[in-house]
Order: sequence, then structure tokens, then C-alpha cells
Amino acid sequence: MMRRIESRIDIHGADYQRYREKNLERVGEFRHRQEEARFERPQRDFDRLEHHGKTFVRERIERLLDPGTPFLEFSSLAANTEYDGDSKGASVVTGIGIVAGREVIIRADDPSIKGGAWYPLTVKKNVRCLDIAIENRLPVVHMCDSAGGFLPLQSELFADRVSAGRIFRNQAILSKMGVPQLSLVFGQCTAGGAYIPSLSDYAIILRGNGGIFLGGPPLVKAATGEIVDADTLGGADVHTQVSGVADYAANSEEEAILLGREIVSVWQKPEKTPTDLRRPEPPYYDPEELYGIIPDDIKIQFDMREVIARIVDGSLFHEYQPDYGTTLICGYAHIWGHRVGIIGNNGVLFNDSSLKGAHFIQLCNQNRTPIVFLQNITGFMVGQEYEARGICKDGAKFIMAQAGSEVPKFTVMVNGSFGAGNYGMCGRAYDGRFVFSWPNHQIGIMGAEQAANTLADVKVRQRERAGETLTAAEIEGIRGPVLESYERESSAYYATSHLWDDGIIDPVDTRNTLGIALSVARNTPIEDPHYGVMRF
Amino acid sequence: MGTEFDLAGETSIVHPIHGDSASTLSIDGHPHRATLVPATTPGEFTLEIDGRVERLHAARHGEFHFIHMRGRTFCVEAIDALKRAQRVAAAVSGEQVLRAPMPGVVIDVAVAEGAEVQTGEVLMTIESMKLQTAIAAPHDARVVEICLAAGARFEQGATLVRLEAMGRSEGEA
Repeated sequence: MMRRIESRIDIHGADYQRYREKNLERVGEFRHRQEEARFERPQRDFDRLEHHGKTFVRERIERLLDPGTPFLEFSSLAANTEYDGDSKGASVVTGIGIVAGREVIIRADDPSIKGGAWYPLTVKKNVRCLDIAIENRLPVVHMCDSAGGFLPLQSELFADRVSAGRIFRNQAILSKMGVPQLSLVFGQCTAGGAYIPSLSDYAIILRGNGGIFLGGPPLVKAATGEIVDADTLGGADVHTQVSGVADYAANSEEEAILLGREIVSVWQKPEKTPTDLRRPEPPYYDPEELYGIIPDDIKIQFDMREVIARIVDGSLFHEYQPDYGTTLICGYAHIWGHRVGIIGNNGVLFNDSSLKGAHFIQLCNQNRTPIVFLQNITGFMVGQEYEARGICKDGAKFIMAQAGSEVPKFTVMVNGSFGAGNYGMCGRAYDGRFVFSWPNHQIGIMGAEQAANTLADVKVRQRERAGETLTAAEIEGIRGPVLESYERESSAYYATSHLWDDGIIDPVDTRNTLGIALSVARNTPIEDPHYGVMRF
Repeated sequence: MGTEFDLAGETSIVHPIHGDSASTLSIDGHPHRATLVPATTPGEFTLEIDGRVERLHAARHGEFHFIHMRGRTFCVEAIDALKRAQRVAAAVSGEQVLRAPMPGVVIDVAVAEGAEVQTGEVLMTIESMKLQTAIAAPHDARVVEICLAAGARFEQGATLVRLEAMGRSEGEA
């Protein structure tokens, strides 16, 4: 039995209306940017696809998915602040969809942008989606159509631990775990790219456009002098009849996709970890009201219970320790029938709220309950009194329990995420299964104003030591640009551009997004809880 | 404990009796055999209670159940026993002091001394650690004293507002 949260929001109040207008504007901007990244390309790029007899990546995915089922796309605005905005969505589409009744990861190159060439952030997005596949034991369908690494930036995408090699390493790990992969080769897979179909359990290659080779015709000619056309070198017939690099040849994209659906339909469905699954019911309070709850100024506090009430089944919540450490809300609820522990910020983290968080995380691990973190955190409390009471070791306990968790963790960046609060509340570094952000989200080591003031102070003191005195205008001249760059780099768009999350979502979609995430997380068994040493 | 159902002011306490049969209910202490079978149309049910068969339509909104049966519509409220118990326990009276949850500065005072305020009404806004927090009335009350003016700095635990409780407790307003 859980009880319904009693909302205290006045939906006729002036604040509600003002916040609502602001958030609808924010969501409108997000939708606009997303639409642009997904569908807008120069006409010549669409013409080129048509000339080669290729369909647009979005169409390919739509044909592959079961009709009428949801597609949870990851990082639709990846790379939006980089490469002059050229690499829309980082030139690759990734997400979770339903194919032949099975939850699968789809990873599809986008040949409408520079022939599908991989930018550094394309590689990061590819690696991330295969990490998701590994963590949640999700089969993968690759739609291969990439010119290979974007050579002008090769030093940023090739050699590091999570660079291009990691894509193939992850493929090998997935196979070792018994999680199947299928490649649909719609274009050329050259050099490293050739390993994607080669490391897949099943590969379909298109006659004509499809090609798989370690070195393409120009490279072969340069290396050995051999003159050979692409089809003879690595076309569909060579690979399906002679080399055995691919398994099936198809005459059209449509045939390849239908054959691909048939292959996925023979894969065994994973056994989900048992859970206390209830019959889902929508929240009692309308999720649309979230727009009127998130303030128009990041400094203004709001009650996270109002957010929880608009995400969870029936707005029903069992709150744990309601009168202790009240700046951290902890409790149990259900989302689409899945039991979850929820940890949400209602202010600065104090000693007591940190201890409460650590304790609640242990409870969730003990009873195998996945945890949803709702972040709106400015940090841990500072000052002599709190240091003396050991805020550092209490914060450390919170981080120790959270980082050591065995249950799946999900993070939603509901508003601010600043300083060490980001760590305690399962920021990106803590390997939560998924991180999603709302368009109003801001993130940074400290707030923009604090950072600008700190940097201005340092500069002023440096100049004073050199015997100079700065005028107010000169100080502002230092502060202004810092504030500007800090604000830009702390925005949700910058964060999602760099894959610090798995995508921006409309607040009203939070419940559905978490529903899919919770479902796929159950493909992986939960280990027995154990932690590092807590400092008491 | 069971769940309390309120029908036009009359309450009944219902809970399932486990053991002999899952479909035995205790209603106000008396056992009744009941089964509810959903029909193919959503919202339509067949209820069999102590051998009688009734066809009914039911819809739910939160804790309110709307039931159409024998040409009449009934509205039944399901009251969680724990919630009711907590409402009774939460009754407050006398003077109450609202203290600062953390050190900070007063940004705004929203009410005057002597004002009568309702549960949840904002009395004062404070700022600390880059965050503005509203100090709200925990229950219906009269404002006895506003202890700090806008701009004033304070330490954790400082008295911000004194209230005199009025009327009924939180949750029953």
C-alpha cells in the first residue's frame, strides 16, 4: 500500500502560469532543434542519397521497427555545439526499439552527412550505445553505411581507450555474453568499419551499394598496384558465396530489412529478472503540470514531491524518513508497474540528508529495487560548522553506497547539477544505466555566477600584486566573457552535445522513458550487494 | 486495519479475509462471499455477493469510485486507514516557531504580523547556497511575529517566524 502525494501546486497562480510559459518555450526550442537534427539536410544531400538508390536513415529505422511501437532515441542532439553544427546527431542514430517483439538496440549510420563519416563524437555515441547493450544485455541491429573515420579529426577518434577500437571490443564482449548482433550492410564498410559486420553473428549485405573491405579500391591501388572495382573486391556475392564475411545477399533495402526482421524473430528472448510488477496506472496528477512546477530561475526552489507525483503510477509514494534529512526525498513508488526507489533533491545536501541517502541506497540494494535519481542539486553544505561535523565523510558515505550499488540506477537531470552533488546523485561518471536531461537542465563544477566571480577575484588580486588597480569596467571586462562561456558550457545543449547524458527529453515523456529503461534493465541479473569501507 | 469506504457520509470498513477463500470479505466485521468478474466491455463488471448477482459499471478517480448499479450512481470514497490515523495525530495547537534550516539571508517577507495564513502559504523567502527556499505555513495559522526583515543574515536554527495555530490540522483543510 502506498499513499497518494498531495499536491500543493496552485495551477491558477501567477507563478504557475509564468513557469509554464517559460517551460513551454524551452520545450518548443528543444523540439525545434531535435526536428532540425533529425530531418533537415541540404537538398543536395537528399539528392545524392536518391541518386545512389538509398533511403534516409529515419525511413530505414521505421521500416525495421514493429509498427506502432515506441523508439527511445538516444542523444538526438549529440554534437549540436561542435563541428559548426555539421554532424547532426553526431551522424548516427541510436536507440531502443521493438523488432519482431524483441527489445533491441538500433545503431544506424547516417550517410546523408559527409557519407556517414565518423566524427569523434560519432565514435563516442557508438561506444555508448554498445555500452548500453552490454549493461542491459540488449541485442543490436547495425545499419552500416559509413565512409569511415573523419580523417581531419582522426587523432581525436582513433587511439584512446574509448575511441573507435572500443566499438569492436564492445561487439566482441557482447558476443561473448551471448547477446546476438545483426548487421545490415547498406553502404561501404571500409577499414575498421569492416569489422562491424564481421564481428556480428548475422550479416546481410546489399547487392550494388553494399561493400565490405579492409582497404577500398584506391587504397589497394596505392598499396600494391592492383586495380579492382569495389564490387569484385568486397561486394555482396563475393562475401556471401566466397569469403563468408557476410551471410545473406539482398537485392533491395526493403528485402534486407524484412530478412533482418526474420532473423531477429528467431533470437531467444532474454529471461527478465523477477520483480514485483504491478498493473500500471497513470499518475493521478497530470504530467503536463510539470511545466508549471519547474521555476523560470534556477535559484528558485521547488518541491521534488510535485515532480514525483507526475511521474509515478497513481502518484502513489511511500516516503522513507519523511522528517529526517528533509533536503533529500527518499521513497518507493512504481513506474509502469516496476517498483523503484526514488531519491530526489529538495535542497542542499547536509550531513543528515547524506546519511539518509546512503541508508536508503542500502535498503534498495537489499531488496533489489532499482533506483531513480532526480537531480536538482547545488551541492553539499559548506561552512565551518558542517566541516566540523564531517560533511566530507557523510558525503563520502553517500557516494560510497551509490557507487557500490548493484541495482540498476537511472538519473534524470530535472534542473541543476552542480559540484559534488552531481557525484552523490549518480552523475554520468557513476555508470547509471541511463542519464536523461530536461531542457532547462544546467550542469557545472559550480554555478556560472560563482565561477565568474571567483575567476574575476583571482585576476583582480594578481593585478593588485603587480601594483595595478582595476576599474569596475575592467573587472566587468574579465567577468563578462567568463560568465558567457560558463553559461554556454553549463547548458543542457552543451551537455547532451558531449554525451554527458543519453539525451534531452520533454519532461512529460519522463515516465515513458523510464518505463522502457526499467524494462530493459531487467535483462541483467542483480548481484548481491557489497560496498567499500564507509568512514563513520 | 482494512480500508474505510465512505458512501454519502456512512462509513464501512472492508478488508479481505485470507485463508479459506480469497473472495471472502469482512464488511464491518461480517463475512461476505464476493467475486467481481470484469465483462468484455471496459468498466463493466458482474458482481456476485452472497449468491446475489449484480451487473454494474465502475470507474475510479484517485480514491473515488463511481459505481452505476440498478439505475443509480454511487460515489464511494476509499479512505486509507493510515492516512486517517496520521491526520488525527497531526492536529496541532498553540504557538509554533519556524526556524532557519540553514544559514542564509532573507530575500523577501510575504506576509505581515497578525495576518491569517493557510497551509502552504509562503511567509518568507530565504537564500542560501545559491538556492531560494520558501518558508511556508505548515498549517492554517495567524502570524504572531516576523523575526527578521528582508536583507537580514541569519545562522542555522535562527527563529524566522512565530505562528499561532488556527482551525484544523494539516490535510483536513
